Amino acid sequence: MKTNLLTLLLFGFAIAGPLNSSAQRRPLLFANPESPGSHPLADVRKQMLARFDVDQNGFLDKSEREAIRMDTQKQAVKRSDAVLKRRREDKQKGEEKNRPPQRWLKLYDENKNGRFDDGEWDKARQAEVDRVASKYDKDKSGALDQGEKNIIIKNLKRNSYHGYDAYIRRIVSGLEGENRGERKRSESRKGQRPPGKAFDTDGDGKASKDELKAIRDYEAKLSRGEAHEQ
Amino acid sequence: MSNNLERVMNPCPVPWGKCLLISVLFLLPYNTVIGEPLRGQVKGVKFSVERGWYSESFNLGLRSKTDGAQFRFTLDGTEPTPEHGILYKTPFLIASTTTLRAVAFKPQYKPSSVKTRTFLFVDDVIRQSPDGLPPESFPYTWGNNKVDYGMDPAVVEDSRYSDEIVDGFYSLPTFSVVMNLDDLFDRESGIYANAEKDGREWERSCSMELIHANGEKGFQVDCGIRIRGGFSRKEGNPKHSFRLFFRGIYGATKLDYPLFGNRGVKNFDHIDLRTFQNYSWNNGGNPEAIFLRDQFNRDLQSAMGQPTARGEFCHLFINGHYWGLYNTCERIKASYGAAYFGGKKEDYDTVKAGRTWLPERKQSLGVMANDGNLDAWERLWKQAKAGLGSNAAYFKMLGRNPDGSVNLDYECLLEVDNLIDYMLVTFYGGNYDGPISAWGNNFGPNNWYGFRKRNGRDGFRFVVWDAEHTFKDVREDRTGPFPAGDHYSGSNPQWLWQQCLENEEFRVRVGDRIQKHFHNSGALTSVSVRTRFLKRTAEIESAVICESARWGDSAYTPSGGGRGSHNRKPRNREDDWRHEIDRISDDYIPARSGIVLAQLFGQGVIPDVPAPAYTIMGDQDQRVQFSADLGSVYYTTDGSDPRAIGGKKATTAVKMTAGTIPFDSENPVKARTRYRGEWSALLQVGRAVSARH
Repeated sequence: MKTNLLTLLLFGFAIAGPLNSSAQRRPLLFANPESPGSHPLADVRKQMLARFDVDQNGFLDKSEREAIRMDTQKQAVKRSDAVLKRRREDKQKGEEKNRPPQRWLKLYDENKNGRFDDGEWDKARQAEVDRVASKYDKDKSGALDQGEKNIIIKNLKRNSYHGYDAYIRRIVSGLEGENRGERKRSESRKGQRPPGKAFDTDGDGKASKDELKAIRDYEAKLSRGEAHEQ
Repeated sequence: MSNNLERVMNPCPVPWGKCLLISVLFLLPYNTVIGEPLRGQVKGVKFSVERGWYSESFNLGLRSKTDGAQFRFTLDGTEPTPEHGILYKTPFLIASTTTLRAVAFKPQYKPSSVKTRTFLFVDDVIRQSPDGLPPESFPYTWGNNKVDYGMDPAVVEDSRYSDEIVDGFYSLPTFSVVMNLDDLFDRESGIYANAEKDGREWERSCSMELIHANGEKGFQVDCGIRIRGGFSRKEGNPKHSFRLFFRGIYGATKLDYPLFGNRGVKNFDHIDLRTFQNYSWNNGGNPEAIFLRDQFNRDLQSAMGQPTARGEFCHLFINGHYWGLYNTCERIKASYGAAYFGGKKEDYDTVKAGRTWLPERKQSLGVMANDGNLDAWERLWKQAKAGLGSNAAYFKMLGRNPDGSVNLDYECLLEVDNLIDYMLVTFYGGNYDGPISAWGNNFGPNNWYGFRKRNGRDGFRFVVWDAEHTFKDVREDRTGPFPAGDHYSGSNPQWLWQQCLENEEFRVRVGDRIQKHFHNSGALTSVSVRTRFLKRTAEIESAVICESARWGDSAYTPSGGGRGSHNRKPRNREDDWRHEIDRISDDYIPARSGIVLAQLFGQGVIPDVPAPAYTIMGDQDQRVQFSADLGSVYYTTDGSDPRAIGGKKATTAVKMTAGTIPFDSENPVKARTRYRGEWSALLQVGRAVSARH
């Protein structure tokens, strides 16, 4: 029993000692780069030593760290130059892609300056719209029906037209209007409440008690299958 | 009255603003209908019940100190007048959420100012527009802006939240905006319906109240309101941020209220009510929404001892309808500088990423002056562009001689420690949209603010702003260097940092700030960051349920379908928010400090000599003992640096041999290790007293 007590006391002193003493060593979270392990700082240091420790003394002195900094800058300049080069190439490609086809220029570029000025462009577009519409108006009715428009849409998917020609076909088939028009807006509201215009009986754009009741009654009927979508 | 004014104004040969002023001054004391002088103004409306959160109905009475005064009130946010509104007769029952605006009037007296009171009933709020239809008197459409109303029963009735959602409302201060809904939602003139429009023309009047659920005193103020923000103004985003202006034309010229307690000033020219856009539920139902990113970056900047835009979380109601979780935020304007750094507003330049057109140069800049001008900013950029490698150039920019001593003939253009700390926060958060934006391959600046007192002795300081694109990939490296800023048009603080790195004295300072913030109990150690992050998290933990009910279904994702659909699942706290919070607190924060240190070491800006280890001794009279595995430790006790500019040992430095050194907060000890002629970063034990900012 005596031995046990002594052991307990010694153990108690052993753990309480450092806590009781006025000295308390505070651990550094990222103390020493020399620490082994997979700490990112230690890993990076190892890489830096392998590349930049010119005198191989296991220490990165001021000039060696300056070499690291200069190398970082060099790499950054390389990256930026690559981006600028790519941008220039993309711009060039874009310019080529956006240049009107020769056929268009021959027909509509009246002042032969290699581009369409305002008046020329309007005329060119209208002429091409008329040309494509008449080409696909198989029954010569003077207007394209949906079947005829569908052929244009099908061809648009199948062929790789020049941008200018594709644009005209999208206009004639109605795709251009749809892309720019109401369809997207209504799609963006998918899942949202109907705007309630049909129920806005006083036309003030605001929900009144009676209007809200009418909408809720209608929706209840809709869910029971007693009404159709408005 | 307006007809009379029109009659007066139309033939008026002087500018109409002056004419209006003359007319108003001339006409005000008179009854404009009968031409008799007015006998004064009716005393203000007094409400028998204070604004606040209520669970039981009550009778509300109105009174005025003016005998014989009558009252009219509105419940739809419009301003009552003696002709408009419901005529008050006797106290009436308030049994549900109500926003009431009242005016007192009396024949031959000028009517009182309009007073507004908001009464919120939580049982009622959680059931607002459960089917997504507009609340009564709200519009069906918000111009082209996406519409979203109501509290989603899928969240409110979820057993995980049905009890806690009430605490969610009570857990944060509540702002209540009450105004004419046409001013918000009218297709032509409403600011919400035309959220992309900005400027004074798109400012409307409103009443704003602050309500504390714990009964703490709030306020009511009449002010101007605008939509704020950049990309978040898009019509596909249904929840917008607001900016409130306190101007004489609405009422008080300042808001007098300690919005940020003792940490901030007590009066404001304007405040922002920010919301969340890039990582939000309202805009696309992003599962990474935590609502903390920007605020927490600002918290970190503050924790590093730097000025920042203070902010707190709050709820917002518009005409009694819950509008979601918001975040108050100071604006970095001249008034901010004057409030925290002294002087007058006119003494300050505030600059930010933005657009300026210089017609004389035919040049568009990516930087703009919000207050003052860009002259000093351009001088700073030019000095930095000329090169800062030499101490003469570097210290001149700081208003100093090459040996670091102050030279009053040189203007100080930069606060170096502030710039370094600002960049360390940027790197820590992995901010890829400010001050240089990764979109566009780092060729352009974005999301930064700077300010400077124009006294020649204060340099530019920078403030973290709109730091939403942060705390994403733990390996994110934003240390650059990046090209943005090589030309003045793209100038920004990170480019200044890059230029400053040419100078050895700056690099030493960088090492010192890293040592301060990334080691021991510094603000950017994982322990400190995590503690601070979890504290902020706890603040909004319950309130997030309210946001989830209001906006969690905004995108109707991931399964699609409207509120009637059984397949949809609104974004919510446990399934979405909690995962991202846990990822940041358990994965990002523990690893991030080490990763950023490694990134900076990999740029050669951290010395390879470890700072001294130290041991604190004693409880009352504190003493410190230093040790170093490599080299020797030098220290000072007079606040000076043991390393002299240029790298030699300072005359005040003492080599540590044995024994301990006394210190206290007034007399910190500064120490560095010296090894092979090179110095470690500076270690400071004991804190110098710093001014509040």
